[in-house]
Amino acid sequence: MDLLALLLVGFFAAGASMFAGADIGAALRTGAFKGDQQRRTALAGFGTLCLSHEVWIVATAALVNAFYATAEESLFLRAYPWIVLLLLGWLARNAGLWLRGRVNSRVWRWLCDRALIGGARVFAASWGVVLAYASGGAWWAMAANALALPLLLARHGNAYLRLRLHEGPRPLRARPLLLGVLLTLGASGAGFTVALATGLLAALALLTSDEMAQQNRDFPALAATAAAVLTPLLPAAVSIPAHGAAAGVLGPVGTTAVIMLPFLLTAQALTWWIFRHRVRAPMYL
Amino acid sequence: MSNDLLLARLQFAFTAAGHYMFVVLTLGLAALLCLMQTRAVLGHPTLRTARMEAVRFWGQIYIINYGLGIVTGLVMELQFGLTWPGLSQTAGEVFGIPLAVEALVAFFLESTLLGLWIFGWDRIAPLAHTAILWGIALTAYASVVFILIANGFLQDPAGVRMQDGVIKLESLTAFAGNPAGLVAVPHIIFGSLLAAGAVMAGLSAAQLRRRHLRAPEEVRLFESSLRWGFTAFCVAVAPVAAFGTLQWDILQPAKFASWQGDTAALAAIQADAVARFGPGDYLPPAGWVRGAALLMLGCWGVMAVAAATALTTVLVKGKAWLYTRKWMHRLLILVAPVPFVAVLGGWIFREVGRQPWIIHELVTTASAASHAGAGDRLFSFVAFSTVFALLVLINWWLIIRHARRHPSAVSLGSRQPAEVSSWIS
Repeated sequence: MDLLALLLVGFFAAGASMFAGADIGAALRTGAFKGDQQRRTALAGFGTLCLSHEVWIVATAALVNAFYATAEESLFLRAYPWIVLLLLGWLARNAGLWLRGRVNSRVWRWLCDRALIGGARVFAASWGVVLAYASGGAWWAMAANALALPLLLARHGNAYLRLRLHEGPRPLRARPLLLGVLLTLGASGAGFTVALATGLLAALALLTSDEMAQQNRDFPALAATAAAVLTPLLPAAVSIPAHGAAAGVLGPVGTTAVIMLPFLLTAQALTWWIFRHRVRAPMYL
Repeated sequence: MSNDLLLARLQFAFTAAGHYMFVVLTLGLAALLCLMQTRAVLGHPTLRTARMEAVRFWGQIYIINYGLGIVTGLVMELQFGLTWPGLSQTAGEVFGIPLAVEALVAFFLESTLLGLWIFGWDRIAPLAHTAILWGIALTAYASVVFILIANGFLQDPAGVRMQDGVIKLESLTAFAGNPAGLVAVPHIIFGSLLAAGAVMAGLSAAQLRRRHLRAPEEVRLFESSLRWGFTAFCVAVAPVAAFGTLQWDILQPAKFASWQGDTAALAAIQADAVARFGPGDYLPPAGWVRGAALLMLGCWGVMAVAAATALTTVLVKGKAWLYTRKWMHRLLILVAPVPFVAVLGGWIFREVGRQPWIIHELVTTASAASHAGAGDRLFSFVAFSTVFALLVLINWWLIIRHARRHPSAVSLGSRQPAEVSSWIS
């Protein structure tokens, strides 16, 4: 039963990292689009699927709260201000994204852009710190992760935008060495082997992504950055389950999750299918 | 009560109240939009475009409100771990269930469907698009049920037992079927309909005050929306009170005694509690509890009178009086914020009235509070309270601003240029 809990949390956390992470990364990259039309087109590029992707974060949080309540409690106590920053960053990113197009004023748009990009940056950095806390890292592990996650997510977001937009951004240099080292340091709390594995896998995935981008193969490039974005979860995945999953809650919630999974995945796939075309013009946002 | 505990409670109170300010409008407006869009799609084809324009106009208000509401929701989800870890410690096995099911079932589907509804306006067949909106409304109500099951557990635990300091689930059906939670559901549903109706009627009335600045078809749109909002308001005003009264019987004794101001009963409850649980203060702040209940009921009185007055006028003088009389417009505009004050009173009554218990007669609020440092606590309190207050203000500024424009100036569902090849390249 403990395995089921781990699989479920892992599944939704992976989804959250790949999908919601792409939206955070894309938000980080909006600054690269100059001119209001281009920027609004970029927002439409990732904004249409943003709502569908956010749900993965909520589902992960709810499952961690249900299955690993004790571990969550101890993590939240230690990482308290970083959890608050994480939420504030996410709040700001969402506010900037959804409110930007509602008022036709340059000042308003500037403010919303700052909220959008700044919020995404705060979210990514705080997420890195929280992951380091989760794997029991020292202060320098947290610092390394705080630097690494925004860079990593930005690359993932860039690859995502290259796929979603008719006129996507130029490929971003993957920096596999820098990110590999930073992620290894960030994962150090989980022990030498796990940390090394994290860094190596991330570096490998990023190298692949670079190569695919050079060959103009956008979808494989995105798949590679997606794999890279999953690696920081490894040290946390190793550390959290050591606390054990709450027994009584696994039955009702686990069953619900397993039953709902086909419906949830169908709804997601339907959304991706409907919005499969590349975006070339602004939309509601 | 220590400063720390007060800060924790205030933070939760402000964020929960802030979150609910968004939710109450989302719930009611989703139902109204469903009915409006269904009528547009299934009704006479020549009227469809005009009716869909109204759906787009109010739909954009719905989205402005929803987008900010989601993030406030996630803050709530994580606040249980941040502010009340003792709750997870003692009742984690049980309390986490309805919250997790809400996130997995209701919210996951609702948010995905909403993305489809907003951005798929011209790509999805009208019937399917309407069905998606129905899905959104139904999943929103499902959320209400799950959240109230969780809250009902706090008010009056059922289907559980305490074992070695941990609360264990005994009967899932008793836990989920707890009347303390479920009886509140129709009250919430009609309350949200009341709020949405009042807002739609009020904002439409504001537009009709300047009908000379609007084209005839725009005037017709707002007259129609006024009808929708006013009908919803009148339909909901009695049931919300009726379902509210059903709850008087299942209130905690201390809450009921506080509302009645029955000092003798309160003293008896306190003495009984000391005998059962040891020394301590087992009474809620009676003044606040009674005050909140009076606020809620007073607001309802105002709304009932307003509804009765307006409805009688319409029945005697005809619908035109709704659309043209200045005093009617002023009445509807003034009544629009009243439901929001009422729901605040209601929630304060419900939640402050169960203090000092976080789980009635099992766990005190004080024992469930986090041991985070004072600095951390102050930081989160100031940060969340400020940001939530700001969001509520921005939300209403945008909504009112949007509601004063021409219906044609709506971004939602406006025609977009065709797109190019698939991303599966």
